[in-house]
Amino acid sequence: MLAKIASAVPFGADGTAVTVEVHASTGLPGFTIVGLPDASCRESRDRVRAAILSSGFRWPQLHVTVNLAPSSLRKGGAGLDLPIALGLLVASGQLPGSATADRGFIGELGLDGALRPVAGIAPMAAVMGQQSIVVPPGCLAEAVALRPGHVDSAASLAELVACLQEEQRWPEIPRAAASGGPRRQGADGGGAGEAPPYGFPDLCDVRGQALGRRAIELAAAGGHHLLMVGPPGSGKTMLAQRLPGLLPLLDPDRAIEVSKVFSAAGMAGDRGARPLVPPFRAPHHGASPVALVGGGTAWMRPGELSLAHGGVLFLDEMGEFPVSVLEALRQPLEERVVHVSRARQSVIFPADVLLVAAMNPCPCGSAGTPGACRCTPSERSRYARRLSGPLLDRFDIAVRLASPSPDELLSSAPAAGSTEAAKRVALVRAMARSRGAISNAEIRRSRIDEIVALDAGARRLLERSLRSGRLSGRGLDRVRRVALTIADYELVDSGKVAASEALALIGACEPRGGIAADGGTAEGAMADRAMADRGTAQGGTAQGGRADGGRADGAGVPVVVTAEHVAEALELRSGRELLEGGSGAGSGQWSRAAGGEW
Amino acid sequence: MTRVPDDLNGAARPGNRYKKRSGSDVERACAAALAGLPKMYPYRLRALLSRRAPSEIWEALRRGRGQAVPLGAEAAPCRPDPAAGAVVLQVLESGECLRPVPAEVIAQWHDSTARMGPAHGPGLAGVLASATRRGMDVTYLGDERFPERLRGDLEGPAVLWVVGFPGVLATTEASVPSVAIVGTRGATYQGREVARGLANELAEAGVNVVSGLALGIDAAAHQGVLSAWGSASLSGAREEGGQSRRPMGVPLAVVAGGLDIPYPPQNAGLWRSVAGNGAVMSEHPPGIRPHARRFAERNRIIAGLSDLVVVVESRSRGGAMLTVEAAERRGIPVCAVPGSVRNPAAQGTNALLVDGCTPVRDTEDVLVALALDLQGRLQPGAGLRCEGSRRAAVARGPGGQLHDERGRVESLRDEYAGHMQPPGEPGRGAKSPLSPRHVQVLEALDWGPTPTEVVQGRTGLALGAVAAALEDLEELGACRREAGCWERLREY
Repeated sequence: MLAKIASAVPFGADGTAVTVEVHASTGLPGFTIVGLPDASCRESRDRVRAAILSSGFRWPQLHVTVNLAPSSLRKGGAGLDLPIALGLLVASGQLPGSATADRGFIGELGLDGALRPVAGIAPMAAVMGQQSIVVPPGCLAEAVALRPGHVDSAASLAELVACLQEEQRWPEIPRAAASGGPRRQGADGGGAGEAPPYGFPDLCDVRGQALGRRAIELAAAGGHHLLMVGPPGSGKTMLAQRLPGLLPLLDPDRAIEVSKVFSAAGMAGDRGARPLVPPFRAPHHGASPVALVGGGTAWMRPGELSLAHGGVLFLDEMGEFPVSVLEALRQPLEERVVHVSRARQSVIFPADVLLVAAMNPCPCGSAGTPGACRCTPSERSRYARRLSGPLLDRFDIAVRLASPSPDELLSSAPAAGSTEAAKRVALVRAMARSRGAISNAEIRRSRIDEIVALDAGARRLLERSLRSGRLSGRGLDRVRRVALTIADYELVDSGKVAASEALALIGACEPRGGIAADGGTAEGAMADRAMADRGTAQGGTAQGGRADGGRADGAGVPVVVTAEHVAEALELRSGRELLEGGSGAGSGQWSRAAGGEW
Repeated sequence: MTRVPDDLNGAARPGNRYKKRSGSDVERACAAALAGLPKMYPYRLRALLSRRAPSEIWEALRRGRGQAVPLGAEAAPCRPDPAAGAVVLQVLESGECLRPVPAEVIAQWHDSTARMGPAHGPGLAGVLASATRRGMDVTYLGDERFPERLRGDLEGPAVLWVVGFPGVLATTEASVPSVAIVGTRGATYQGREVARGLANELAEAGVNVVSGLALGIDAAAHQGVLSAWGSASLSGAREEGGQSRRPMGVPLAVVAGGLDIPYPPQNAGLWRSVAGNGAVMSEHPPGIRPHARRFAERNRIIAGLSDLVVVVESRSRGGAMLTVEAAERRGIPVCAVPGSVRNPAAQGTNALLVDGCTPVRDTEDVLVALALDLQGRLQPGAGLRCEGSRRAAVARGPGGQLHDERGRVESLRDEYAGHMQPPGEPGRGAKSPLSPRHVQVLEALDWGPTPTEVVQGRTGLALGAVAAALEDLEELGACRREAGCWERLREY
């Protein structure tokens, strides 16, 4: 007799639907699993046997063949225990086939028949087309969060069979699990009272560090990758930890992607009941390339880069990471997804991160203070070489931090907190959305020219920087984006946008779906107004008569970028000089001076 | 019999006839009025005051030439020496005042004094009362409150107007160590910070800090002392200061005009603070405007009030160098803070170092030079030794040397012409291509590498504005970028 049970296996950050076919026939009693099972999958035979026996069912004295279709796909994990057991019960006539129809099953079995949680429920639940799925109780919240359809759960195999045969009512889903999940939280509009900094450390703990604050606010507002170069104790880590608290809450689609990644990595508990909060990942510099970008043999696990999707990936002591790990970051940073390819399979993980890195300017750490570095030139150049030029180019902002002065450290004046900064960030992001991008860093390159209108001073400054070799072609593009963010920021700072509206933006509107959904969200209106203000402020360049729907296709008013904006953007890249100057700082100074004014 | 002392240092010795004489109101009024007479230069008045009390001089002038001085009942409170008139006239006509005072000047004085009435009359009382009303005190050579270090100073002031807390003059006794911190008005930020730090720590070590209330280094030095007082009053140390260690040093300022005219106006607030915590003094009566010449002359008093002169930053020809010369003439050791060889504001100090002046890097160096330890206690056998004994040069010098001094001061008057220029334009009238913002940013740059955020902090401008200004300045060649920092290249 043949039974077919629907199930799924994790595959990268997504799941793949799998049909478990169980065929039981007369013959020499035996049990075979085919369809590329991995070790944990093959071992399920012993677990299933014990579970069936201890749940009070009969182990059929038949020849049993289990096929996992599609059979070309490699399957791993213990989540197929439950469908195999159910298929066996159906095939051996202990359960009517109709009971399992139009249901999907995922779960690991204990020897006593208990249903145990498995990793990656969320992506698996999402790909199963059945009307209803059954998951272990420990995965219930995770599955409910991502699945619009019905989800059931039972504590053990015996209870599940009883429920399927309608001898018993399905256990009630706990309220906490039912209300969780990005979709529901996003829909009820509050992020369940989430307000910046969402439990991350607050910016008001930072003393001094005006430049560092500015840098992380701009990085958060424009989505610009940030590199902080400074001596030990200059607050790099402290600032980086406060960056995710400035970001807006994730929108539901993004939050679902994030939850899937965490689930696929078996870390769903880390996201817990707060799926809208941007993630913050800070891997240690001992991380391997696979740990960072993802991979594995049978079961492709997402790496830190994907776990930070939608949030912040913080690489502390970037100079200590192996060069191979750092270079592995280059392509994902550009494409915002990771392609992990192995001989048999290849998966795509999301990897849209805000990369924040911190490093010392040199091995001794004091090169930021002129004349204080004790390293030899070769030590410095070796250290600086760990960051290749192309990787360095990925950082829109490379800021040079100095240790705060004792006055600043001891000052009792209250520093500005994260809430205020997050408001401004949200508004700048809203402006970026009105241009059709999540952030200024992600605006299509072809559109930068029409959005960023350089004034004469800015053009002259850029030209000079290009001619002197301080700026490369790629650098020019990044500088223009940062300058655009600075210009946006200036508009927000000028108070053209009321604080209460800003609060409404972060609190309620940001998670409520994309701008494409409806043209009239508050954030869209805000951004429109801000743009119009800018238009009038800049001499009537506002394009009048823009229809309400016109915003969706990203028709933005060109933003006038002045020399001050560009100069600040260039200044915020000056951390590169500390690293690039590593090779020639000793001799170059003198030779240049000798050829110059002297 | 009249004795012309050949060693004016003797005036400071115990037992000197004027040492004992407490400055009554009448005497102080007379001294103030005498100093206000036309052409009554300090050296002239000093010569007179070193011989006779102010009231006696006043009466002698009032009576005029050829008259004996039979002092009637009206002069009784002064109980003057009947021979005073003769002594006064002899001083005026002999070489004691460098050269004899012309007869017409004496006649002028006679007219003025006669107009104002007798020494203890209401006319003179009014002079003193108007000063007292404005919070000023008057002390004169021979008054026991007159700063001890200036008593033996041949070129010192004769009369001092003082605004300060009551009893501040007691802190000018020679037993209280005192350091002058001087330097250029066009100081760099770094220089001002050094001056501020030195002054602050010296005050905490119980050393008085003397300076001139000018812009730049002077102002920073005063601010340093005041910040020491500020933090001390917060912690209550002002009251307890005297228990375990030497009381804190006070700020002392010597200014070049009348005490009723704060100059430069930007320092008016600082002026009041210094007067509140220490003293502002001047040898000029109220109403006298600061004048280029007076700045040069005031520097000799700054030097004279000090045990040590520290030059923080000075251009190669500047007012601070006059203070240095005045100090050297008095045998007062001079120290200089080294600066970058590229820093025009440190060229004078660096030149001093080349000439063998003692370098100081921090307060400890200054205290070692003063032979004090960090608690302000005297360390026997330590300290800077200058050629000969302190103040030897001036005390030894005959009148001719004084003459030279005056001539030299006159020739350096040009140096001080800059004093009367509005501040912020060190370019000596050259047309600057820079906007005020560029100037502001440039001045916030050091001659060494300065991080941009430091410039931002100093100017208080937005980061973008600072960065744009720096880019412009780089294009003009005024500064350059070096490993993420900015360095100033030349002056504008």
